[in-house]
Amino acid sequence: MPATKTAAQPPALPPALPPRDLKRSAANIVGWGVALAVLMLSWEGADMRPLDLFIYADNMTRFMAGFFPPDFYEWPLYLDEMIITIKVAIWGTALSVVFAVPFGILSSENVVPWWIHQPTRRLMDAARAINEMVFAMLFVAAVGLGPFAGVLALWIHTTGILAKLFSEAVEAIDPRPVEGIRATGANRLQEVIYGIIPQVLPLWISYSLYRFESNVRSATVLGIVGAGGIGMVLWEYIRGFYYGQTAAVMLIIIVTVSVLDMLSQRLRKLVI
Amino acid sequence: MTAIRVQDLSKSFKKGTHALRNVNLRVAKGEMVALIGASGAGKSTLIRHLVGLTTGDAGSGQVTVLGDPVQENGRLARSVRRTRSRVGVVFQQFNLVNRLSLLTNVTLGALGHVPAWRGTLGLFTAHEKRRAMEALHRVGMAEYATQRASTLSGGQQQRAAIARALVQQAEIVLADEPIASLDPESARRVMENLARINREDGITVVVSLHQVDFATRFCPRTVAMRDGCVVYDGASAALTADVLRDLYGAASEELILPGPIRAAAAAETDFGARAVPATA
Repeated sequence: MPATKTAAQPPALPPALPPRDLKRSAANIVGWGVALAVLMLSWEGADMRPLDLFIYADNMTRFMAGFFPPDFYEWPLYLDEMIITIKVAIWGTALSVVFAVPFGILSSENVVPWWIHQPTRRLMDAARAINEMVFAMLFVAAVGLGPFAGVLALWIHTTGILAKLFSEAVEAIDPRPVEGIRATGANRLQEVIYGIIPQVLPLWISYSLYRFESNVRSATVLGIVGAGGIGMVLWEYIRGFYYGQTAAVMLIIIVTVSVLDMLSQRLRKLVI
Repeated sequence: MTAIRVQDLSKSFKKGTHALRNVNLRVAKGEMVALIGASGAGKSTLIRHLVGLTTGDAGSGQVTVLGDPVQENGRLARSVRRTRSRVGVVFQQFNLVNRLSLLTNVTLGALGHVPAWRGTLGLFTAHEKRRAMEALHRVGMAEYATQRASTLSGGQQQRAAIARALVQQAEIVLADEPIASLDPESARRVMENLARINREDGITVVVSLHQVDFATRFCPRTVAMRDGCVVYDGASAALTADVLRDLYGAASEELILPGPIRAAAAAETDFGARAVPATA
């Protein structure tokens, strides 16, 4: 049996570098050029005056000094209003989860025909496109000043967001268990309940908790337009130049939001 | 009595490939029929047509199951849900809902029989749940009833899928490559379960298989397909290696098991008494 050489021969010369890809370098230069051009064009409209930061440095130092020390004298009021803000976020999120389930399923192209999911998606787009502050102003006019207007505003806006997230989860499911359910003679609703929802539930819970975090943040400013909660207090202090109190309220918001973020992150890890 | 009747069924997909060409098939009640053929021969497509999970080409023939139309002319019959509830389907990938317990998965077989509102709300009676337990017991899976489907091995999931068909009180069970992703031992147990429900309950079984050895061992009759056509329909015993070579040419090798696996497939062992530990 003849001996066979199995080891590869080492190359005589080190391999040369691959040639530079001209097309890609050109695309790179064009890309950076376009980015720069967009920034330049936006300079004027955005009223960019970076030098003012130095010219008015004195003013700003005096302004900042006004925030110290934070004035916690009325802390029970701040705490009450903060709790109301959280309650607004809880109800706004809960209502939107309830509505996002049907709307999310009706926006999924693997569940319903296009003439249902297209109109539903456009409706959800609209709910999402308008900021919750705008909805809050409208609802304050409709149902009067107070937290209820805030709940309604969060409800509409968050339904739009969650419906989109929910339907993306539904569109990514494994279709085979659904066929398994269908083959037993189940109807469409039963296919959704037993074939789809068990698959997407962990993701849905995670999305809902994440939106709850965001809604607590949003709810802190809803008060500015009169929709209740800590925002109302904050706005009164800012307008009245009470910067010590403003700083105290801001600190309470920071602590609350951070704590809730951490809690909900823990919960989300539990369900996934 | 005719359980399944297929007349002139054709199916072509968008790119002009023909999955089924003028298929004609008649299966009598109580038969156990193997459907063999290489990958892409049209076995799965045919089975999906039998329960209306796929519809044939417009203008092509019809499928009748247990005397009721399933589809005709490329359109599903109105009564298809009722017909589906009388036909159990076992899939290659088991098609259980991973996050639900085995018992729930099997109980869902009753969906086609209970009133819609009760099935939708998941209000199954103790009697229905007990029937699910009995079905799990028959396939040797009762002790795993509370486990999530995803925690079980392929063979165990497949046996649970058969239990779901039993709860469904299916008169016909269609098994689409039920053993293609299983090891030989699990495959044999699944095939024995199918043979047993055929023998003891008189359930008509149509099972598509990749390898002819399982067909000759478990099914008296075999229907062989190639390129969407039925090329053989008759006794499994007559399907010798020579006949297969005539039907499939060089591709016939794919259909015949290598020696050791064939021996395992043919080995006689006790039926379903031992339990295999979960996800070993």
